[in-house]
Amino acid sequence: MATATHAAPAHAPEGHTSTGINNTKLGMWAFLGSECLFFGALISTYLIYRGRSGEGPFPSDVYDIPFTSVSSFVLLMSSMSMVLAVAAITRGDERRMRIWLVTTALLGMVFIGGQIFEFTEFARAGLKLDTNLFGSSFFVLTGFHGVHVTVGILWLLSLVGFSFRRGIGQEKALAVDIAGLYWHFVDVVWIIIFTVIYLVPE
Amino acid sequence: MADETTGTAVADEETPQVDAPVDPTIDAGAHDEPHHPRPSTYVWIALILSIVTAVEVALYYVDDVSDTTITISLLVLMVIKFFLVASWYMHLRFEARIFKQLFYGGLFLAVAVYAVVLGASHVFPILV
Repeated sequence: MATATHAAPAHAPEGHTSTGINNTKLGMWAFLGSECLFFGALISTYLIYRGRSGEGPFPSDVYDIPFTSVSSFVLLMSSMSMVLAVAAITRGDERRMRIWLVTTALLGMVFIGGQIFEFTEFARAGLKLDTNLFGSSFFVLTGFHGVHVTVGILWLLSLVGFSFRRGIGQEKALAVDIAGLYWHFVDVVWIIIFTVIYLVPE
Repeated sequence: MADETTGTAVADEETPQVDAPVDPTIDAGAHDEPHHPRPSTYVWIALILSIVTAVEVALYYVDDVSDTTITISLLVLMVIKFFLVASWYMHLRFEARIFKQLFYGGLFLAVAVYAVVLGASHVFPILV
């Protein structure tokens, strides 16, 4: 009796699948889909507790919209530099890829620096994690986003380091593409946070 | 068949390309990357994103318009920015359908969960 086997043929090239869809990329998109739920829960919590804080400081007391607007602009521009890094390595231009990756990481650091400054200012104004519902939901949401940006920065810098040590050729462009997906996701989450948390009137 | 440099699913070489839409933003000369736009397109997208962000911030300071109008305008602009980044920078408009389903499926679920929780909080205020 013939038996069916699902093992990949020995001569199949690395990354090749019967569906034509790369498993690494599929896994990354599944992860990003689950991250939508993660941030969705945090944003929902913020919105549901919005306006329910018994005592201040309230959002209008501490938000510095001009400052946060500049931070948002910096993160948006980091998305552009990230996609230019992916475009460069797709063309096989590793030197330009490194430049754009370092630029992206630096812009990410500026954003994180701005967030640390903002948190410090809020704390000086009397808003801490346990002050009120606004403080708890705001710091948890934006804090987790900041952690994601920090992970992204480390990922980008490790790619730059790997590029210098072993080289990232056109054949490994997928590694940069995957990091880019993560970075852009962090950016789209901030697009939502900036509008819904900071700009929409209470 | 998959494009091994980016993992993008592409049509098999033997598959006849019938009535393929011509997108002027796609670099026709890059035979190895038929689905990726030119770098200049990315810069244009960044410019549009910057302008939309500037409009959002300007709306925040508008006083003589109702909060409802401002909220709806801000949400529309947010959605535009979201889809610009997802479609062009994350290349979702060029990707296999399964990637779009995974990402937008997660997004839809997140919005649905929020809607349910918000609705429940109004019906059963003691919950929150």
